[in-house]
Amino acid sequence: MLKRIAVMSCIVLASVGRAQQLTPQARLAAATMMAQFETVGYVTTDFLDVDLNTGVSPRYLATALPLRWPFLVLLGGLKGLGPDTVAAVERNYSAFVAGANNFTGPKGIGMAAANQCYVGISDNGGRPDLDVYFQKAASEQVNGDQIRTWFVDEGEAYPNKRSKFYASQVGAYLLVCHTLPLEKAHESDVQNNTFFANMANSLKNGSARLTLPDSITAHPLWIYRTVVQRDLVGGTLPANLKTLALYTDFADPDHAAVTFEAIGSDHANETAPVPRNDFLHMQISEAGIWTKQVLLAKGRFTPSTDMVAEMVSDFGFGMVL
Amino acid sequence: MRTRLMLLSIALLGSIYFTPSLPAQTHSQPSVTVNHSSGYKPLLLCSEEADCFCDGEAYCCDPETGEGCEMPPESHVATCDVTLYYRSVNITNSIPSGGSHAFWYWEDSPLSAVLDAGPSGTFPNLGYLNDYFAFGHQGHLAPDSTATATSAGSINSTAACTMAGKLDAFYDTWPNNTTEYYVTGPNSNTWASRAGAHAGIPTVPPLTVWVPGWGQ
Repeated sequence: MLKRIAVMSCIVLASVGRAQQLTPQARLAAATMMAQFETVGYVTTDFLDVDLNTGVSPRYLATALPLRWPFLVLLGGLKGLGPDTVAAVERNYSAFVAGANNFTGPKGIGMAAANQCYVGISDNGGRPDLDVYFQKAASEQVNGDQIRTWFVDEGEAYPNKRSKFYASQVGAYLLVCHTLPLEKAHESDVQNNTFFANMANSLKNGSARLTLPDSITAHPLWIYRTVVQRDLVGGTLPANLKTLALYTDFADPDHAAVTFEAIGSDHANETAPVPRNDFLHMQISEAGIWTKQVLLAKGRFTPSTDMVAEMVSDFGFGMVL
Repeated sequence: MRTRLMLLSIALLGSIYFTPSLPAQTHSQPSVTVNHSSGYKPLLLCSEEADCFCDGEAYCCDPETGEGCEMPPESHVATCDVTLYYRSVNITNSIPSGGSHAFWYWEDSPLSAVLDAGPSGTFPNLGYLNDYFAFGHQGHLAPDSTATATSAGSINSTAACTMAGKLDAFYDTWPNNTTEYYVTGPNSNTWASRAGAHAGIPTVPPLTVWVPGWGQ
């Protein structure tokens, strides 16, 4: 009942806009990710400024925390090189684009894992000098380029497994990729090395074009998914669901709202392409687009946090508690 | 094997019965029956060559060593401890996800146990919300440890012995493989809140952390 009341009250509240066009560098990074991954997300780095021990952000609503899930593994990987590395990267790159696919679930409690890459975008278009912060990583030559690699423990959800991280500065970009949790240290090395090299080349060549509308991308945080894999942590997405989008602004932390959109293959609108979490009670906003808006509460955690967690899960980042 | 060792050691203590039963139709875990203290703490020495009784319960007395029990004096009033713990669910390289997992712990000296719940299956089908019981300070998952988790509140009293018994009873009667697991509930926190309510323990979810599923 509480959930229903929260949903109803959220419907009538409008989001607070802070629309801003993506920079050309960010558009290229997002387009490159869209070409390779099923889920792509964008976030301004200030939203990732969290205490690495508690996960709490000093600047943003605690109730917004599930929105960080697509980007947390980046922090975990960089932390493997030291807390200074996390801080240095966050200082030098003002936004990140994340791409993910091949979602898999934890054993027991924990979060879903995926093949993921991240692209950090430098504000001034230059190449920050971060070599000292990557000293702990090994150097490898892949297709003639020097890249940094290192391993981190996956933790409780994938016991005795590690992920391999790859990083390289490509002009104004920092490209970081990681594997799914590995049984053996060098499993799939050739395949992953090639993939990483191809990603780096795509960023260098800069030919990909972003086709997403500004209504989604002109926000400081957005996630977009072209649904391919329907089995996710928590259930299966409906067969007629084609794409999902989520975006939010944080201009007013007292009234931060998250908008969730689902687009189905049935444009006659007879059947809502609503994901398994039907408690969201999505409303049709225009032909073929079903939407839901959730107002994030300030202070104590509420059902709105659960709803946002449900939304983010539908992009592949479900968590088992 | 661990259960047998546990059973043996408990029998040797002579004060507690632990009776694994055949799996029930709806509960795949062994049932647990712990006779929690109810006012007297049994002593472990006696001189009688026969069974003796403490507080209405029979305990064996070893005729060769004299070990067993005797009725304790009034001063041996037992107290128990029941505590709700929660801990962060972490991802790669111990980065907190922001979500917390709650579990129960009771202590009735010399025994203690951790009770919690979680999904029966693995990706992509998480299955059902099933419960787990483990003697000691650590649950069936290593991070569910009283050494590293945060206490959300504790009761230490004679009444807590009754509460501990009711937590056990909730564990025993929870119908495993029946309640479909869902990421934001019913989940482990749902089970923990229901167990506390069943045991009559006044609990509120930790206010400063996110415990999805609590109170559903």
